[in-house]
Amino acid sequence: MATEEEAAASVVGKSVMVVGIDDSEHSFYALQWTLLHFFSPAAGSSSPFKLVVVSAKPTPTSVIGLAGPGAADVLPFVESDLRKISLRVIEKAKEICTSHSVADVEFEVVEGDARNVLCEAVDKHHAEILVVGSHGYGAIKRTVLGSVSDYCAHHAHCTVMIVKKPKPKH
Amino acid sequence: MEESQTPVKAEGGGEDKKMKVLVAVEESEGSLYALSWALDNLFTSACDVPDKTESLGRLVLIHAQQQPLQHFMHPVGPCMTDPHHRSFPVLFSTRESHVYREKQTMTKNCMSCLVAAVYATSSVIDSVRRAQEQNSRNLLERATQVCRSKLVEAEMVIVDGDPKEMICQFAEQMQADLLVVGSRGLSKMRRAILGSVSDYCAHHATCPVLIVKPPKGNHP
Repeated sequence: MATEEEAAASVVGKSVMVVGIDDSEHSFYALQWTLLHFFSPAAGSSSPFKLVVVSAKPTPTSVIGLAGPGAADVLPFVESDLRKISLRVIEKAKEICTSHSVADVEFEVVEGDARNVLCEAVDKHHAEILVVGSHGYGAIKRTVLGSVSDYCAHHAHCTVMIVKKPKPKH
Repeated sequence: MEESQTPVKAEGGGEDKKMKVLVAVEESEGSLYALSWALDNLFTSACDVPDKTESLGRLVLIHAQQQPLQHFMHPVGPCMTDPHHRSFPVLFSTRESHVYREKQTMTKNCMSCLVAAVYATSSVIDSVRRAQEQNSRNLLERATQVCRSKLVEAEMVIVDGDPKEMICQFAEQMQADLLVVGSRGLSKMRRAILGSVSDYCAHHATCPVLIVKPPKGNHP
């Protein structure tokens, strides 16, 4: 039952919260929102969650798409570009965490498709909750979730929280 | 319908953490589990405070009732054999099982069924409505018990109408910080498909949505 699981979690340590981030504003907003509401300094160090920040790095082959004649040459450039992007993402996430004075955080960069990476991370860490941002496309697509958050909402084995960035009112 | 007002103090401690949490309660096991999960995980940081919600924000439980009349606007004999309404039986037969859940199609069919609705005697409608109210009351009592056992005070709201839209509208009205919905945890085949209310809320709510899935051991 749920209470047994929770008792076990509290004996072992805190329950784990996985936050998926990528290069978009929306995911950083999701991270900030989570830190603000779940890890406020007022709670002291006794927040009930351990935070794991997971960034998915897409594989170069998936980014290149069609393999043209010059694909092999482009590969190393794409690879280094992706690595730079993911490092930048993690750096920014670290900044956000320290600005909210949250120290007990793990950062992970996993290569692969974001959907699978996040669901596997949930399984690996036995997370209680997965937090993802939502791309929140324009007015026409507003009713459609980004495909990663939608996939995670359906397939993750834990509670999923989808954080949306509020639209500025015109 | 119970309502208990929780005073939200603006001083000290959890100022940033104060959230307005709206929990959707339906008649499924999944949503009661969602409620207890939310209580456990969102309101645990101040364990020594006797009334946790005082420093941590508001918890509002919302239950949406479906209007009983819609159930009776549906499939009636005399209407289908009526020669003047030959086109409508097609609508009835193909969408029979979905019709009474969709508010939109009801307006199309309701003209042809107005006659039929009157046929359904008022006593039947009354007893259905009473049964429904009884169900809602039982459900809310169970929800209050769960809240009380975790030492959390909650407000209750009952709204009429289509659950998905009502919940999203109410979340927007009260400027909720977080909307919590359960998921029906359907069987393995359909595990990939969320329940329709939680899916709709995930897509249309303007605030962050928390979808609580039932624990793994409970798949039929």
